[in-house]
Amino acid sequence: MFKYIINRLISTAPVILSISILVFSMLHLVPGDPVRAMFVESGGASAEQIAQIRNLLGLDKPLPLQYVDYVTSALRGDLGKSIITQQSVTELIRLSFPSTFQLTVAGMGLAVLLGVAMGIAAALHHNSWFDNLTMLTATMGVSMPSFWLGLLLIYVFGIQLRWVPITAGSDMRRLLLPAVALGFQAAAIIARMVRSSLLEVMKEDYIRTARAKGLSSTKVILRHALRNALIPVVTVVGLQFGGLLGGAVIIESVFARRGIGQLMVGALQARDFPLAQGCVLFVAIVYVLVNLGVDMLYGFIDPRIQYHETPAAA
Amino acid sequence: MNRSRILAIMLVITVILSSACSSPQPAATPTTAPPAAGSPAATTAPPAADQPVRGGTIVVSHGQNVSDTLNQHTSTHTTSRMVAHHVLDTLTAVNPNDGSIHPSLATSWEVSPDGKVYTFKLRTDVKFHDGTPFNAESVKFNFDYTMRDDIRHGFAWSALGGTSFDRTEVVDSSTVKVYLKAPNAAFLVSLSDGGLGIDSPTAMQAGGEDYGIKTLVGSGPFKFKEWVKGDHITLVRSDEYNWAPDIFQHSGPAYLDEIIYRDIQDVATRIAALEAGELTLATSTEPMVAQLRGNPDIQILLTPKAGTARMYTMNLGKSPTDDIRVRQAIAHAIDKAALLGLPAWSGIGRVAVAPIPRNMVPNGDLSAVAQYDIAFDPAKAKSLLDEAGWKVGSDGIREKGGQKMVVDWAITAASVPQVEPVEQMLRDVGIGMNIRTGDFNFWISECEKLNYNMTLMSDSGYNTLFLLDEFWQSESAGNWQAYSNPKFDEYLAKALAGTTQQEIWNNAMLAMAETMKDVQGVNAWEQDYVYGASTALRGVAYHEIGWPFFYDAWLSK
Repeated sequence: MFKYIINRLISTAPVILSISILVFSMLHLVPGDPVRAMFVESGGASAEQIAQIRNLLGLDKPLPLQYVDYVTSALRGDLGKSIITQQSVTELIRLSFPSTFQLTVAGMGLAVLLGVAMGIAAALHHNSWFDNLTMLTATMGVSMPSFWLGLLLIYVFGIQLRWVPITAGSDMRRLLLPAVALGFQAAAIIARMVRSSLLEVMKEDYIRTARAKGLSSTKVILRHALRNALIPVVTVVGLQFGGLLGGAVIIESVFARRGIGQLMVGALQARDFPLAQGCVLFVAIVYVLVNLGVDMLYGFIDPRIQYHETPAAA
Repeated sequence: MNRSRILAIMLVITVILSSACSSPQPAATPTTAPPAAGSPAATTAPPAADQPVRGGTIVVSHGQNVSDTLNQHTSTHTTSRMVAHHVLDTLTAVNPNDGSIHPSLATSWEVSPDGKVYTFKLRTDVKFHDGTPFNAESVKFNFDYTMRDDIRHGFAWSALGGTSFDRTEVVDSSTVKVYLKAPNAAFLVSLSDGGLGIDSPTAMQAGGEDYGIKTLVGSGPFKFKEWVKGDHITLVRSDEYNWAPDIFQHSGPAYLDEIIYRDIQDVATRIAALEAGELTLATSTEPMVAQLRGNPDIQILLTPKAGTARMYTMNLGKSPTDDIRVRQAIAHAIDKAALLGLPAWSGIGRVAVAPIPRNMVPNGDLSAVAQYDIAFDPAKAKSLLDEAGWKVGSDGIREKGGQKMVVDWAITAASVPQVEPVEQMLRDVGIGMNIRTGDFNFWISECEKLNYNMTLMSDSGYNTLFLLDEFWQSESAGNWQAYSNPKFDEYLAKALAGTTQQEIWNNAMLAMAETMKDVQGVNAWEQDYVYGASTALRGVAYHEIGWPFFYDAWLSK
């Protein structure tokens, strides 16, 4: 198991390296110059000024050299300094990530809770009007973009009813709307998955046996059906987590929350290369680690799943 | 972890959901209405409605967050100056109503006859927020710092005159001399900008690289409390403040306890937060105003924007706008008054008659150049195009030598609502349009490469001469129009070297007239800054650029 984890981690190195090259080249390919962008709204800059700043930042060096500088620093754990604020990129990510993590976990928690509950309820009342209603809601959830739901929630609960604050703050209540906006789509996907998976399992012989033993309905579902039905669900949850991290970028903008998404959008707008690269790399690493965690979870849910010690088995 | 317990919780929820089956009631109990963002902390007996009261916190969002630093020596962002000006005092102050220059940290000044040496007498009763005294050494330290070659040359560097700035000399503790290499007619006005605010040298040295991020120490009416990056900046009142320039309505400390600047970049969210009472003031945009106008709790504050007019500028280096007859025809085809009546403008702004708006010139008098403004006259536009050899094709678009007359636009996505209406106007005279959009970086890049025919452009700033220089001086890095006219350069140089107001303005008008005779663009409308604010917010003053300044501001409820 330990070796498996190590192998998996080693195998991610080329992935991370490719991402870094891709991000670096894409950022430098799109039009725009960070130094020009700095002066966009303050009346322009003279040619001397632009040259002076480019030189201070090392932006006048050839691109391959800039990339080598970047990678050698990154290997030492130094992601460089933001072009715009001159603050350490690692520090900026460290300050922003807790907020994004909080939002993602809240969104995921809500999605799992709501999704599993709706899925079970729909499966138990298979083909009833409740089942239809739940699945209709789930279909809506899947097709509704999160930013649109976010704006809708702001309008209804923030402006019309004034139940919850809409823009960010330390107040936990302010987490509610963004978490709902973020988690609703995942909840819908999970609900559909739980429902179909549970319906499938309920037809199995061992369920009939469990019932025949005289076990209560609750026990049958909890001990036998749900546990087996959850394996595909865990896969979906793992995949959704990455989606939620991406979704947080948009939700953070809509709800004006600080976080890695907001940091990334700002960095891209300003062509703040080191910061944008740092954010993308960081999110990629988190995504890889979460997937590894999900794979570990399979064994926890179903002890029959064994881990092989070669990366190929991953 | 007990897995059965987690599953049991889920089952309970399932049971509740399925057994209830009736429409689930939201569990949340509506609390009392959330406290208005600007509710005063402690105001006792209700005062007369127009009497300023002390206390209260306002929450402001200008959208574009201060994304670089509050250290004005290196900052390049306007929002940074807007915030920092509340913390930093400046040597001079400009009355935004008439442009007159008043004492602030400098009590008086003398300018040498050649316009190159400024001698300032300074206040002796001013202390920075860290308790250290303000004196001539502080001025020298600040100006020296701005001109250092190992820091970024930001806005402050250019405001001090850039390469034309020479040095600062301490005469005695309350007298300082500034030497320039060339006269700078705008120097005293520039010194009033928050970007040239005076920081505490002690605090700057102590703060090191974190100065402007974790600390900011000046002598202004508000003290810097904290900056939570990506979220907010908090300023608190300085109770020692007793040296306000006489351009304000009161003296002594400010009325408000706190100003919180929130980062809300998305304009729709910003307006929603304002409507929900979470913001006291929000920078808005013209199209959002219609939504706010019906709200009795919200007032729309408009203030003329200092800067150029909004201009549909043209590239003189690319066909077909390299032909003056085509440019004249385009100008004749655009009905500026009709544009301003469209929803995208919400009735805000005034038809421009020159590249510089009325609020930027003495007495609002543009009569010296208004004669060169081109009137809406589609018939004239058509005849000019005929004369230039562009004949109407079968699809209504003109052609010449097998080439269609399509004007290529490169604009920011935000400008689309104010460019699209032009399409029909140009089409009516047989000109087609191709609009390419992108973010700021795309736009700058296309403009710099001169890869466009027309764009929507303007800039902010209170210094007319700098603006003229930036846009049209033939050597300027910001001349994105391929404009080169020796007469313009000559008039502008004379204006910049001018020592009397008359000399400065006569030449500035002559320079402006040149760009108009050359039809460098369509000077479309004079813009206002648009803010939505709670009706409780009173006494907002405006910085000469048109930004809200909260020293005189107070909350009425």
